[in-house]
Amino acid sequence: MAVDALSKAMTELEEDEVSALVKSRLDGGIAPLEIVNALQAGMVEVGKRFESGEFFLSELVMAGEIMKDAMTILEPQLSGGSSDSKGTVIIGTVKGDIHDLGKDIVVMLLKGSGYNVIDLGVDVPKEKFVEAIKESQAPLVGMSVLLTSCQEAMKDAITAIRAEGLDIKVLIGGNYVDKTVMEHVGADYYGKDASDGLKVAEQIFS
Amino acid sequence: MIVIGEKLNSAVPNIRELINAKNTAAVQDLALKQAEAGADYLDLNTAQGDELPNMEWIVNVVQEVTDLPLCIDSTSARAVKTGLDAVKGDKGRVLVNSISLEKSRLDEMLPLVLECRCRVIGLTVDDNGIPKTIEDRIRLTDRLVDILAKKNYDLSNLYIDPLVLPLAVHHANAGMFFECIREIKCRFNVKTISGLSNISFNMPMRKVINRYFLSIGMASGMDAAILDPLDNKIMTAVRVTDLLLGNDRFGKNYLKLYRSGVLTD
Repeated sequence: MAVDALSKAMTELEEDEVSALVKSRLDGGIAPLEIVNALQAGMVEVGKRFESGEFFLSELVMAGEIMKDAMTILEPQLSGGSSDSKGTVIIGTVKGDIHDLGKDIVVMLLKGSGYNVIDLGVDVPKEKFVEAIKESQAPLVGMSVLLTSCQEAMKDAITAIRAEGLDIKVLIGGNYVDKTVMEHVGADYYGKDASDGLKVAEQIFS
Repeated sequence: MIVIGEKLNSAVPNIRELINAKNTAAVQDLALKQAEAGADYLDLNTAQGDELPNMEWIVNVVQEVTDLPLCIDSTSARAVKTGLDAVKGDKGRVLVNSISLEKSRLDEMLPLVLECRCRVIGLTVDDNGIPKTIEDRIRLTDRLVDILAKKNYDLSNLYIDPLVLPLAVHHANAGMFFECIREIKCRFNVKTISGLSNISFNMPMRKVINRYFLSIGMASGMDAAILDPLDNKIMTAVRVTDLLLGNDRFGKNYLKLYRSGVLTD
């Protein structure tokens, strides 16, 4: 399978090449979202290599840094459009999980697409989700999770939200989530990458 | 850390034979192997033999297989000029090995360096010989820096070699060298360089001494070393020390080399 040059540079942690490719693709008129997807494909491969023991922790951290730097270039391109907010989305990484990279990318994409995003940060307890939903009356909450061990915390948070009778759709996102996880925790949607999250938002707010 | 691959030196008998026999394949193989092992420069010395024609030949054959910058190694200005003339492309990338404050060497070699604006190793030795003290080495460095600065030479291209003397001669020689490197880095905007084998002269288990010498030297501010990049143990010492000194962002190089099986315990 032919691998995209940018995805490959990301996986090989070639930071200068990543930044050069991001810039040249932007200049070449390629859609920013498409560039983000290529970067993400590279990140997924980094994650796989880390899980298999081929990559080490510092390489995972470095990949995150390269991604952040690339997003700094991309962010101004993603934003723009109308100043009117399309609606409010709440987002946070679930209790026990402190991974912010995936969440931050989704936040950036949503903001860039014109949504008002309330970012609750990482390691978010269920009470905080409930409180934010009550306050903002947002119709969509996104929960980010990387660690499988935090799945039950995610389920607890969703159960708490449902128990309050709040009228809200729950989107869960993370590399490992799928339909089975979604059904198990009682969510309404799931996303495997940032652009999935954006698609769900567009569906709900359309 | 800048690694100067020392393999292609006619002082080593079997290399001398390869050069004198104009064994292109063997010389190119050694050049390539050093490049693959992570050398940043390739030292070329043909002093043992028909120096000038051999220098021209070796520069040509090495350039056929690698773009690595060359380190033209000779005490003879004519040999250095022959080497520089044979270099294709940007001669500013060449590292001339070496000039010193010995009058005749300075007079002959300096114009070549200034003409090409190439990099150069400066030895802290003058017509009175190798200095005994740190102060005298600093004084000679100061003189050389002064001479080059007056000619608008970019001092970051000057590699000062403070000439370490064997531990066997005096137990304080290594300590003096480290102190000297620190002083030079503190006072001048130049680079520092050393060979690794003088320190262990006439001692048993020389390679162990050379490796630790390298690490402490790097920690003291040594920028470059002339060494054998095909020796995995010394290259492991280079990469590990770079990792420890924070010169290897996220340990990327170290981990890459680990996976390629180069690092050795």
